[in-house]
Amino acid sequence: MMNAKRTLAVAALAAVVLVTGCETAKGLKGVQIGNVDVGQLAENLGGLREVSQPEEIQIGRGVTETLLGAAPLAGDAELQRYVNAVGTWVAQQSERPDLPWNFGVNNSPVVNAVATPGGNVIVTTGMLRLLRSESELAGVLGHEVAHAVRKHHLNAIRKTAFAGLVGQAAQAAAGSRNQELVSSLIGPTKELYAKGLDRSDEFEADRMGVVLAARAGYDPWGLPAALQQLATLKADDNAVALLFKTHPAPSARLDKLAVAMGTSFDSLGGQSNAERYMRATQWLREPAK
Amino acid sequence: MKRVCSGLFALLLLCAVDAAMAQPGYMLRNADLKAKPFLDADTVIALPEKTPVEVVKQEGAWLLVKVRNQQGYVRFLYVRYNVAPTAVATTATGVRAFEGARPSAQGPSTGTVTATTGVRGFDEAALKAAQPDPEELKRMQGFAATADAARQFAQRSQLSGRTVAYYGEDGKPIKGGK
Repeated sequence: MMNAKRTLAVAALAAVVLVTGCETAKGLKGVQIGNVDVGQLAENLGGLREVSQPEEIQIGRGVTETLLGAAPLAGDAELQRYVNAVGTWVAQQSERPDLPWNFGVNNSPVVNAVATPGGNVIVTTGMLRLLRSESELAGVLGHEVAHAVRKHHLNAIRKTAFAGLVGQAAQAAAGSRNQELVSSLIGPTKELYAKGLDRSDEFEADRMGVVLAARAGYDPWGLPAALQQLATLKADDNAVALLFKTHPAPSARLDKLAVAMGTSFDSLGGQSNAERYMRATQWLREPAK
Repeated sequence: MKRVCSGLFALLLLCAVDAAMAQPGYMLRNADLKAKPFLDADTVIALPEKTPVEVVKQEGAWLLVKVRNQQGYVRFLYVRYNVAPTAVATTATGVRAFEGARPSAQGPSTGTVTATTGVRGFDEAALKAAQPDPEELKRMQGFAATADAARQFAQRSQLSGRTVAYYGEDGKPIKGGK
């Protein structure tokens, strides 16, 4: 009888949470009914709610605003458009071609590339400087596109239990920029992008990135070639510290790709467009004046 | 004499290009040096693990390498490089202002001036200190390519879309892939 009452109380609270969103869940943190942590239950229930695509896009924009606050875009408009053309063409080969794909080159000597929910990708000038062909760029962008397609970051954000964001994202999706949403994303963005995703997400994005670039008509060995170059860098090098902290070691990624790719891609061929790439990025390799 | 000189110069240039391209590496595992980039090609010599190689160029799944006086092909992923061919930004040189090499182009939507001095790196410290920059997001959105524009770009570049299945960790194709 006691148990039935308890169940009823928990169910009632759960219903309240579902209706009112996760601000309630935060308020319930630590509240126990029997051996059930109601706050935790409420958060879990909140997390179960499917995030709509417009909400995903709003969350992604909030995350991107903070990442751009860490390093601004490079001033070269031609380079920005070139990377958008390559990236958007690669993204068209994915299962989510209709996301508002948007690629940005940020001005930083650090070697890195990141995706945010809803189809945003940021790649550093340091990374572009390391790469040597468009097929390598397509592979790197394909890896990031895969993260967005598979919602790796969105799911990681949801796991950290602030599904209340979804309610704010819904408001933002219906209207304009939501200051509260962006503000509440600052902390989780910093945490997630400093810590990184699960290793399995990274390996999956590697396998998908290779295929997306290949579908786009590029040499499928672009991403492995980029990883080969990354593998030559030392983890204590400032330029790659964050990338190496947030990803499995390049050699581990190459070993996994060697098994997954096998000989399946041997006869595929494809464009590398090395000359066009080197022209577009030449100024990055010129000595500073 | 002039012809000899220019011939010599051309040869020197070729050597220089060759040297610039060749990247030192080593064999990650025992593998055969093949005469051609095919699995069933003739074997030139067997290369033990850790054999140093000079990578001349990549041809898809294969690398053309020089080993002592021999030349041939090994699987791309059986080799690791010792050093990157392009100097990658590190500490002192890395902190230089990249924007210095080219005048800053203005974004389409705002008059935001991109910093030309004190360039912040996209590192953990910068991430910790970051504050949302809505203007910069707007600028980024201004550079977006539509799906149509991307298709036209691909067409101009002789990039044609093709069907390739996703692969699982074990190398088996995943059914239902595009």
